[in-house]
Amino acid sequence: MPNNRFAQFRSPIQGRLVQLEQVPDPVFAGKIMGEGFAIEPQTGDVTAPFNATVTSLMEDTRHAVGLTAEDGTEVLIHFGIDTVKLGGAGFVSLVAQGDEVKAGQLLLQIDLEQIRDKVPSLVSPVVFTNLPEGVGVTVEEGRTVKAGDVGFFSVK
Amino acid sequence: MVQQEITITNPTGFHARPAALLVARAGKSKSSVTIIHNDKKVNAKSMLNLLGAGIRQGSTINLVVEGEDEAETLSDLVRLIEQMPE
Repeated sequence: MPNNRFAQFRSPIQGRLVQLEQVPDPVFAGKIMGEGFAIEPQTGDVTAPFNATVTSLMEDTRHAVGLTAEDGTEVLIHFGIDTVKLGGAGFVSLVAQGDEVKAGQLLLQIDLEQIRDKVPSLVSPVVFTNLPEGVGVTVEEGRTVKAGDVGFFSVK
Repeated sequence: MVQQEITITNPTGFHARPAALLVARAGKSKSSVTIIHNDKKVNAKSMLNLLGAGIRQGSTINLVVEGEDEAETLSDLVRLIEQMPE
């Protein structure tokens, strides 16, 4: 996968960067889904990191969106931990599975204050689900990114 | 080729956490792993395809494994599904 794909990857969420290993959930922290990073959100907007097709968006829970880029790169953006249990309450989706979206396009809107006390964590993993074996992702822990920022992580 | 039909009982269905465990196990298999749901075929080695298949509590799926380690792959996957975490 060309590295410039990741150089142009725009942050989907505004917030503080967290290493994936620090996410309070063993499946994400253990990188079972793949490598990536996480963001502690400051706002409830999720925007597309690149031009893509929405390959997965469960319409009844709307808590996670999977996107496939034109070159086949897959990313899963999972808003919060255990948010599937909210059954969609507090989550609005502006797109549907199968839609083509453009980088920067608003995908989900979440009411942070409504869900904050109902889930163990708002930390949102952003996972690349089809990176080749041996490829790792590093991010500057603690740095704050705005939606649309690029160049804040590296893929090796 | 081996296959088994299985009904999903997990109340939150096939969301990210159980899907991750399934995809990880399927990925280790030397065989092809396909899930058939509502006549749609999904490659079980692809996380996003699996999440996009809309498999919920009550869904019945057909797990189809074909290849040199098909028997143990199928039984491992069936066990993972039966013990799916919420």
